[in-house]
Amino acid sequence: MYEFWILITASLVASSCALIGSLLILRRMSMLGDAISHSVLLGIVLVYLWIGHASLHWMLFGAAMVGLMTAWLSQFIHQHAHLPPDASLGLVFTWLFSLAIILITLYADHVHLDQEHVLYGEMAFIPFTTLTLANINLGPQAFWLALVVLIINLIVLWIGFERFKLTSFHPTLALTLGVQVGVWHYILMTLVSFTVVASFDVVGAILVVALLVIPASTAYLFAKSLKHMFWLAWVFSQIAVLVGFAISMWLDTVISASIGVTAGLLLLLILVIKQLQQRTRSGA
Amino acid sequence: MKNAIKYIALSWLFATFFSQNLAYGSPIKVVTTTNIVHELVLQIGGDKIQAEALMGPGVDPHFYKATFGDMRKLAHADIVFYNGLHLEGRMQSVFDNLSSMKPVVGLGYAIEQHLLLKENDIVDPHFWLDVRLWRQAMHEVVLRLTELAPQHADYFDARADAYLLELNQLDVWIRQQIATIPESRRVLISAHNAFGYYGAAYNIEVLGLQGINTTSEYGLQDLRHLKDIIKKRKIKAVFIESSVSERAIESLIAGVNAEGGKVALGGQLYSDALGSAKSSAGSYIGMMRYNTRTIVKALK
Repeated sequence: MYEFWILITASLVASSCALIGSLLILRRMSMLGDAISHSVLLGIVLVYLWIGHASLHWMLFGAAMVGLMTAWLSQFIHQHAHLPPDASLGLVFTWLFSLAIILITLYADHVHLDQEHVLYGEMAFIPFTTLTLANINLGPQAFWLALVVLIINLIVLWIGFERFKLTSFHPTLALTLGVQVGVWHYILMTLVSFTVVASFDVVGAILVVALLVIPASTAYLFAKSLKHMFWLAWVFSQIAVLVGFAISMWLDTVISASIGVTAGLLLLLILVIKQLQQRTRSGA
Repeated sequence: MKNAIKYIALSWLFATFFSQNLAYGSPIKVVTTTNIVHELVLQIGGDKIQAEALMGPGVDPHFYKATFGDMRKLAHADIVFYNGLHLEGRMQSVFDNLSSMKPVVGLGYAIEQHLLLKENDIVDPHFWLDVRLWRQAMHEVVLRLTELAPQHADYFDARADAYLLELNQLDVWIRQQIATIPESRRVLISAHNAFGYYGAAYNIEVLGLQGINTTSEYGLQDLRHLKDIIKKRKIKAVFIESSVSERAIESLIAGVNAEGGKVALGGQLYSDALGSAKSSAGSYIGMMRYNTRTIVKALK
């Protein structure tokens, strides 16, 4: 049963990450997850300085707020200072992270404040933190959090599918058609920020970053439409979770890292297959 | 139909009876976090327990990553011992939740509260470096193991008495050794502030480059301050720790020597984890003796 809970939770998180990862890669913002994994430190520090202790719920809230700020600020700088998206992202998260370090050394030097401890979850221990309502054990908290995040993602993507499609592929066309490109972009950034922070709490940072980038990149190699890309990314993410989980069981190793490595190997394998196909086709 | 129910009930009774009998005969499964706690539990439990540590030799608890097997170990343990006082970080919430399923013991919480060192209201978790406090932790282990397996009470008590003697000797020995260092030079400088309890118990001043948190960076002021102290008090050596990066301490040494002072690397101390089982620092007593010898040799 414990194994089942870990697997199903990982699968839910992977689904969310694969979907929004697909949209991010089309906007060349794949590393937003990595950027947020660093800048959340500022959220943790600010919440600590504000309320004076390290309660997980408030820390998560602070982290989500700063995640939002990272996404919004970098988008704002990209649009108004005419810097490329990767540069504006890089400058925002490093600045926020550095600010957090300064605040820690000045005001919180002797507290155990770092995102690794406060925020990032450990997959192996998912089953041990359960949700109980009216004396009924409903299973791990992480499972419910991941489920809620996935449902929110599905709803927003379903409602905004056509707009996301237009703004991803033809931003200028979208503008002339009267779609509010900016608004939809900020909606996506908000979605990413909440998904990423909640997923950090469930499976830790490195896996979230890997799942945002790798399945979507793999799908990017083949996809012919946005819908196609969503499906492919989802399938790849689920394969990575299943195979990675099996490997971690077999080798008795860290689950999140195994899934990340599997996702990368899967991408490599598919690249090789694609190359071979092209070669035979051009040879024929 | 009635017979069938009776049959099922009977066989169920049998099954539970036998499985319990089996549990009685087989060793108690104990899981610990750090290998320091692991060794203490083994000292008391001997061959009546089957103990496993989640963190191996030389693993800094701050950087521990759980594997798949660790989850199974925790799930199947009869009792879990951990250090506590937030040494294990976020795992604390795992222990809080596990405690509704099985006995989960944080040794740090069994220490008399007024003996714990605090800095800015945060308790220093490295209490095992004071042998007298480790003795209190040992009593907690005996108590909890006996609760779980009262049939082995005499066995645990006998082992505890023997170990207590060794710990008492160790305590006296360390005190004598440290006292041989001239008082003005009795300063222990290391990479992170793990040795607070050691310093307080054995009368040696402790200064660290980092706070108790091994992940935070040290400031330039800390470095400047330490350099001044080393030069002013003619301290001969500074130390690195097995689980913490050497870089910080090496830059301190380079800094002092560049400014015309003279300080050497005193050696490596064990703080957050025991050495490998074969090395001389592979047991708690071995580790404490090794640390003390290294400190005395370098500072005298």
